[in-house]
Amino acid sequence: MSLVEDTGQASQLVAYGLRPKLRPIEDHDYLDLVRRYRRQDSFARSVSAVANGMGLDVLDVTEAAGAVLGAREGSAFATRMEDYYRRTRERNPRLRVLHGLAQLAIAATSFPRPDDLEDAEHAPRVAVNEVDEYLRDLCRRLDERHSEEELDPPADDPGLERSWRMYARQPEAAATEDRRAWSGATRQVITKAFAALIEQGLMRKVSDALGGTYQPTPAYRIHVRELSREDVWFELDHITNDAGPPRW
Amino acid sequence: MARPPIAATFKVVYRDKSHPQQPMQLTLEPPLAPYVPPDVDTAFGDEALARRAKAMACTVPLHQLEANKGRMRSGEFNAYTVWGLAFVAIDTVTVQMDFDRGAMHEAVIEAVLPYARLQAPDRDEAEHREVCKWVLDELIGTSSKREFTVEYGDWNGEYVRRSFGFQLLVERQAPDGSVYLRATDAAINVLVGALDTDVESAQAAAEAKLENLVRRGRLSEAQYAAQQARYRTIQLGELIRQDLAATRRNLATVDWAGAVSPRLDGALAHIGERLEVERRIVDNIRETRDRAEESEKRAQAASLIELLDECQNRHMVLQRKLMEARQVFLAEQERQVFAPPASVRLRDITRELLLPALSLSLTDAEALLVGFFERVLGPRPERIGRLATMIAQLLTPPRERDELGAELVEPELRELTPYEAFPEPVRAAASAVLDDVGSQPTRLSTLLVAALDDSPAAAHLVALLTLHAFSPALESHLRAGDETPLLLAWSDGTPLPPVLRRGGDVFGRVFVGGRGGVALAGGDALSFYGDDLLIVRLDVGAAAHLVKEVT
Repeated sequence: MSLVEDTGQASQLVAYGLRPKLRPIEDHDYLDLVRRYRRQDSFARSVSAVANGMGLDVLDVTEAAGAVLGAREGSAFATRMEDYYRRTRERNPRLRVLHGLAQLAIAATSFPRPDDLEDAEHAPRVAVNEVDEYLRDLCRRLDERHSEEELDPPADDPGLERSWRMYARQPEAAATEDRRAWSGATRQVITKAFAALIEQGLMRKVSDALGGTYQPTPAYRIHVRELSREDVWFELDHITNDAGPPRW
Repeated sequence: MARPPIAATFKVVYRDKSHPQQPMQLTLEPPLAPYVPPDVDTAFGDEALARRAKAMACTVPLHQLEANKGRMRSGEFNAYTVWGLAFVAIDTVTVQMDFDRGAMHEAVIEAVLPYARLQAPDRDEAEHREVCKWVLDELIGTSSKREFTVEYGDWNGEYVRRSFGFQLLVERQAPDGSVYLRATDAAINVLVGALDTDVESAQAAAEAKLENLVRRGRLSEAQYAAQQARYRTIQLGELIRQDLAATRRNLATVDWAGAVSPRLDGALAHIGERLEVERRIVDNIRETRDRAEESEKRAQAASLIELLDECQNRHMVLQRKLMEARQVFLAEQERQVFAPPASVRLRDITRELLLPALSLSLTDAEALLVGFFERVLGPRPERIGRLATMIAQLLTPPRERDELGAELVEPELRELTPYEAFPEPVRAAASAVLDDVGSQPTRLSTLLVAALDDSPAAAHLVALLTLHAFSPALESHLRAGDETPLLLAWSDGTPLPPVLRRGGDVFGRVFVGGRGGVALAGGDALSFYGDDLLIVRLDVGAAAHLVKEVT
C-alpha cells in the first residue's frame, strides 16, 4: 500500500475516533481499520502521527470502543466547560467546581477501585442519586476529619471556602410543583453531567431508577483510566503533598 | 489589662423597605469597641465565643421570620407567632426522620395548621395554610437560594470576620422521585438546645435528668427531657446509617477498624444500656402515675410513657441495624477486596483525586476539576462550515415530515406452496373413512379395506392417522381446553388379517411402531402387518378415562 493511501486510511481512523458515538461494530470499514491498527505496528504509528499532528493523543484502540482520542491542551478539539454550560463562562468558581465535582464523582462511583479500570468487563450501573449520596458522604467524612479546624471562609474572600463545604450546602433537589426549579440542586447538576457523557458516547441510559441509572461504555473506562494514571495531574501531587496525603 | 466581658452580644439588623439604607444581612458581632484579646492563660472562652455565635446564628432565620411577617400580606401575618409555627415544622420533620426518609412538604403543613388555627381563630383556612407554607418555605430558604449566611466574629488568634453558611430544612429526593424534607444537624442541635456536645453523653445526661424529674414528680419537664432523648437517638441512627451506606459503596473510604467498629461497639453497648435505663424509667413513671392524684398529672404521665415506648422502639430498630452492620462489612470485604491487582499503577479515584479536590479551596480546586471535566469528555470536534455546501443546504426546501413516519414500500409477496405428503383428494378420502368411526370400536382392518377402495395412498394415510390415535397427546388437548372429540386407538392383541399383506411380494421401507405397530411399504406395493387396532371417537375426558383403563 502506498504511503498516500496509508496516510489516508490512518486519518480515516482518526476521523472515526472524532465521532465518539459511532462504534466499530456498526461500520465495517471502521472495524477493518481498528483491526489493522491492532495488527500492524507501522499503521498504528501512522495513526498516532496523524492524531498528534491534529493535537490529539490516541489513548487506545479496541474493537469495543473504537479509536479513543484525547485532545491535547490548546488543540482545536479540546472540550471547554463553557461549551456545555453557558453560565460557567461567568468565571464563577462555585458553579465550575460543582460541575467538575459531578464528573469526578461519576468516575469515582463507576470505578471504585483502580483494578476496575483495568477490567474491560467492568460495566457497573451508576445512578444520579448514588453519585450525590457518595459525594455527600465524603463531605460528611471531611467535616468529621476537620472538626478541629476553622472552616468558614473570611467574609471578603469566599473563594477560600473549601469545596466540600460548598457542595454539602447545595440542596440535592428542589421541589417541583409550584416551587421554582433550582438549577444549582446537586442532582440536577449530576443529571446534566450524565447527559454530557451520553452526548460524547461515554454513557448510555439504562432506566429511570434512582434518579436515572446509567452504564458506562468501553470508551469511558479508557478515558478515566488515562486520567487516573499516576503520571498525569502533577499539579495535584504538588497540592496534596503540601497538605499531606489524605488518610482514613 | 481590663478583660472584656465574655458574654457575646449581638446586633441583629433587618432590612426594612421603609429604610433601604440599612444593610440586608444579619450581623452577629460585638456592639461597639474592638475586642481586646485576653491573656493567653485566661483565654478559656475564645473558641466557645465563635461556637456560640454560630449556634446563635442558627436561630437567625427564626428571628427573620418574626421580623418579616409584618411585611407579608400588608400586615395580615402579624396575628401569628410565626416562630412558634417554625418550631412545630422543625419538630415535625425531625420526628419523621428515620433511617431513610423525612417528611413531605404537605405533611409538615398539615402538622403546623392546627397551631396556626389556634393562633388566629377568626382568620380563614386559606390564610392559615398560606402562613404555614410561608414559614416552611422560609425554613427551607427558598427566598435566599436555599441557604442562610450569617457573619460572625472569630477571636481565635487574630480577629477575623467569617461568614457561616448553613441550612435548617433540606430537600431530599426519594427513590420514587418525590421530594421530602430532612432537618439538618444545625436544626436538630438548635432545637434540642444542646450545642457542641457528644451525642451519647448528652443522651445519658438527658435521661439522668428525666429520672430525677420523675422522682420529684415534675412530669411536664420530664416529658420535655424525653423528647430530647428521642431526638438524640434519631441523630445517632443517622450516623450509623451513613457509615453503612459508605461501606456498601467503597470499603476503602471507611476506616472500619479505627473508627466505625469502635463506634458500633460503643453504640451497641450504649443502646443495651439505654433500653435497660428506659425500662426502669417507665416502671418508675408507672408507679408515679398510679400514685399521682391529680388527673392532669396522670394524663401527663401516660403520655410520657407513650413517648418512652416510642424511644424504646427506636432504640430497638437501631440495635437491629447495628447487629447487621458487621455482616455488611464482611460481605463487602469479600466483594471488594479480594480481586486481582492492576498491572499498571493507577490512582484510586476517590482517595487520590476526589477527596483532595473536595478538600481544596474553591479557587484551588477550580483548575483541577475543570481540567478533569474537559478531559474526561474526550475531544469535541468543531463543525467547520463551507460556503458552497451551506448555500446548497439553505436553498434546499425543508423536508416535509410525515407524522406517520416514512412511507411504507409495498412488499413483494410470493405464494408459498406448502409441502404436502398427501394430495388433497387423498386427505379427503382418508377423512371420509375416519369420519365413520363413532363411539363403537371399529377395527383398523375394516378402515383399511374401506380406504383401499379409494387408493393405496388413502389407506396409507388412514394407517398413519390411526398410529397417531394410538398416542393422541391427550395432555395437550386437556391443557388447551380442546373439547372436540378425538380418535383413540388401542390394541387387544389381534393381528391384522393376512389379506392386507396381499401384494406384499416386494417389501420397501418398513416402519414398525411399538406393540400396535403398523407397517407399510412405499408406492403401490402396499402391505400392512401388526396389530388390528380398535378405534373409537370420544370426547377428551372419556378418552383420558379409557387410556387409564387400557394401560
